[in-house]
Amino acid sequence: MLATAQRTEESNSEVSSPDHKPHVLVVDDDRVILATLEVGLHDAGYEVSVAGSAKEAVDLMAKSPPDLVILDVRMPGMDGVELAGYLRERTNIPFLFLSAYGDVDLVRTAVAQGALGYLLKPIDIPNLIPSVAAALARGREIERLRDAETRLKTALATEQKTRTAVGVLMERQRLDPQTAFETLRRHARSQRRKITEVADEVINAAQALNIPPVECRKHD
Amino acid sequence: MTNGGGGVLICGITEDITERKVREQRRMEEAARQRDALVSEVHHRVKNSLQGVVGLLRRHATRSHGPSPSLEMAITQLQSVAIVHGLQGQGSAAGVILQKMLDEMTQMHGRLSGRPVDLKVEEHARDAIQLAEADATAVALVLNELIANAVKHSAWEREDAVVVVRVEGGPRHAQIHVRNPGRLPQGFDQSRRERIGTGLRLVQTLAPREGMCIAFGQDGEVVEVTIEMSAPVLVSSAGRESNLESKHAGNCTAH
Repeated sequence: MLATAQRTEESNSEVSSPDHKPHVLVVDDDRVILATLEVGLHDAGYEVSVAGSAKEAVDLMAKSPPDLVILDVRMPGMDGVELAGYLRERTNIPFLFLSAYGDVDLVRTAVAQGALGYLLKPIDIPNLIPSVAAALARGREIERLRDAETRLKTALATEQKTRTAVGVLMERQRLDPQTAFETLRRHARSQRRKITEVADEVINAAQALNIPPVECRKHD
Repeated sequence: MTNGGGGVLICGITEDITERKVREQRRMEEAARQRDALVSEVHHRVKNSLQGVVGLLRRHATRSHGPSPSLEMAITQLQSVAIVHGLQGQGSAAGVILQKMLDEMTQMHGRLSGRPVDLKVEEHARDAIQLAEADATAVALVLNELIANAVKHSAWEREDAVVVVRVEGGPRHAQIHVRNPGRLPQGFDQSRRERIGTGLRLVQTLAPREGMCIAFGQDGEVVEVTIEMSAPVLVSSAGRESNLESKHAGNCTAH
């Protein structure tokens, strides 16, 4: 079971909200297991899709991406480990493995490759719900972290451009860092444009003239 | 090699290996027989274990205060799986013979409910319709659910009320009709998953995607569920049929 089961309460409150039912996709070639999970998770308040093969799962995900995938390790054709690779490389959808006891070593390898955890067969719905809720909460956390990382990267790139443009202005105009930065900002405001766009232009112009820009470490 | 006149000489040894080949073939046939016997034995033991659990549960059911629908449902589900293992343990056919499975299943529901549950199989359909082993358990659970549903919702107050399970067709395309006196709920729509009960949701998910479709209908004062089956759920005596041989399943939209 998952180590993050303590988040169950938070997640269950979300499950009970009529506005947002988390969508779980279950992938297993055994229809009895699919039916048990489908009915159990549905009764627990989840929206559930089922797929009898990895290929069917890929098709379903293209139409309606789930919030979480629960996938069997051993399936004919494309197996669970291959499907996990697809999920990791092509999507940001979190996933849990479903495994028989004897598959544990295989699952450990797969978990090391990005799964949030694994559920052991035989399926026991009351015991399984906390793990699913925890996985969904963990998936949302990872999504938030991923968003924050993207925003930080953008902010860093912007900062880097501005500093470089300030350096160019200092060199070309013989300005001190503060005045160079103010000049850049004033120029952007007067044209109602973003400072990064103007900074880009300054850098491009400097490169066109083949003047190596001097990066200004501190402009305020 | 050449002779004195420059002619080419060919030298060879011929050995009759017919006996060796026959021995090999016999050994392989014997290995296959032993494997089949082992598989049959395993099915037989699984069936016995499941029936042991069924016995324990029935004891609980009779000792508890009043009938417990959940417990009775669990008993029929376990017994259905036991029936499949029992038939696979007989091992004489390519798949699981549908008529034998339904025979045991209708008897079980009749015994448990104390209501008449009849099975009618067309003469030429006997033994001819076989389920693929891979799908047999899921199909058995689907049929169990549908028969249980028919027994549960029958208008037993009507005179001569009876649940009838009828089998038609042949090895490539078969139909099972489950009929019971009664009426479908108003506005019943099997395609709206949110509005059907747990039992029918289970049926929809359990039913194999290919080779099986289920349709609910009202025929006068009788509710009729029609289950159509074809390959790959059905197999012929020669083994599992290819998808290309039968396309009935592809036209199915009911489930």
